Amino acid sequence: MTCEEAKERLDDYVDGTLTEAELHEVEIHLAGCAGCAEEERGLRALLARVAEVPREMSPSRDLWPGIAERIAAVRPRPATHGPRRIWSWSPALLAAAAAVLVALGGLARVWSPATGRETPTGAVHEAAWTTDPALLAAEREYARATAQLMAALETQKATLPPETMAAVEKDLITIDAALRQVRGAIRQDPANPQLSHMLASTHQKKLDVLQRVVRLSTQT
Amino acid sequence: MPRSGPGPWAFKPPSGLRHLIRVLRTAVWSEPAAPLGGVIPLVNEEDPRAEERRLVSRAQAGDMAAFEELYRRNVGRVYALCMRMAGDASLAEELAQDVFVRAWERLGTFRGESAFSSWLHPLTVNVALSERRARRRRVARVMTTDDLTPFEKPTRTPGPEASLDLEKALAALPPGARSVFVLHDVEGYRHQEIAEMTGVAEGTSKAQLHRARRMMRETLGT
Repeated sequence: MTCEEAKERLDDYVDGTLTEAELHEVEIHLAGCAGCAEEERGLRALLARVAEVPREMSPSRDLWPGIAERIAAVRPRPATHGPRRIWSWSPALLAAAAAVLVALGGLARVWSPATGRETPTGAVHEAAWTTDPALLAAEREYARATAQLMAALETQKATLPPETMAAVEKDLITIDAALRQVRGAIRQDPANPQLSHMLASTHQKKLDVLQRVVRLSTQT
Repeated sequence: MPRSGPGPWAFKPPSGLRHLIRVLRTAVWSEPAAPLGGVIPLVNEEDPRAEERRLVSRAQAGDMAAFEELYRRNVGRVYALCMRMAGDASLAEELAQDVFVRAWERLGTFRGESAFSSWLHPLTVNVALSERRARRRRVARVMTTDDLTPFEKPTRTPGPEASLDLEKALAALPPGARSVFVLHDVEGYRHQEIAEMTGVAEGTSKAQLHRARRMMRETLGT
């Protein structure tokens, strides 16, 4: 093994990610090469210092007032598990939510044509519209929550009047259309934070609708 | 020719060391902070997580006072991560605020299967990475890595002088290399995980780490 090859492997060596064979080769080289051994010691010295950094730091000011101001107008999103608030579901509220979403969808349409394809569980072909890990993670989170609620609804929908189910399905179609349009807009303008916010709020509307109807079905 | 000093066989890195470090780091991140100057009691009267669960439940129901308590307990760790990822104090403060606003909005997704602090950790990483991506797109934004003043004054948890030097060196790294260095060497994530979080190839993550370590060593003289 040459020095160049050894130095290329030093990061993996100190990280413990080499195979046994590679490890052995590097160790043999280090045993006979003072220069590379010095490199290794320097690397370990750096990592030892890094391991000592404090886990906490204090900001120069109290950040809470600013946070409190921003969250005062927003209630936490409902728990998908554990404590839940009491919902007062009504068809009028659903209609209002759908109307808002139609408006959102219309707004998104101004920016770009629709892209993406919604699956029955709410998942979407991710790479088609964003590579943002935060958005993709959020998307997966919503897809999971949506799938759970859809599954719950599936088992309970027999308890609901057919006209209610028809109204809900119509609302979901509207919301999914809005989601596709927002994703399309994000694809065109990935840096726009308003679009990310709109995507999250549209997802949340879908969850709200599903939660309300699931709760209604369990109450009837 | 055999070199002098302890041989490389003196420390044989076990396979999966990074994972172990991450597990330990997560444990440290998850543990409730010990009171300043105090000691951790050997016997707890009550499961420390029980009080946290109560706070979370109250916050999920809209109780801002409970959420403020959760903020007070976690802001030090959230801010430290933001500070190291951003390399700028005022930006880190903005990011930490964003983290808690987002946490409030998403409280409903917290199921109590882990410590609240563990739930906050990936959220914090995501907020910091999202901001960096957005900043990269805003060409007009002034680079902030020259602002080292936040490290001139020791914080509530002051480290030795060497620690401050390290923080300065960290803040001076290019943003991409800094993110990978913080995630890998400080927080203990693996390259595969970093690649998923940042959207770069695993090889790019390795190259960024190599670059960051080299620059850190040059700055610190190790």
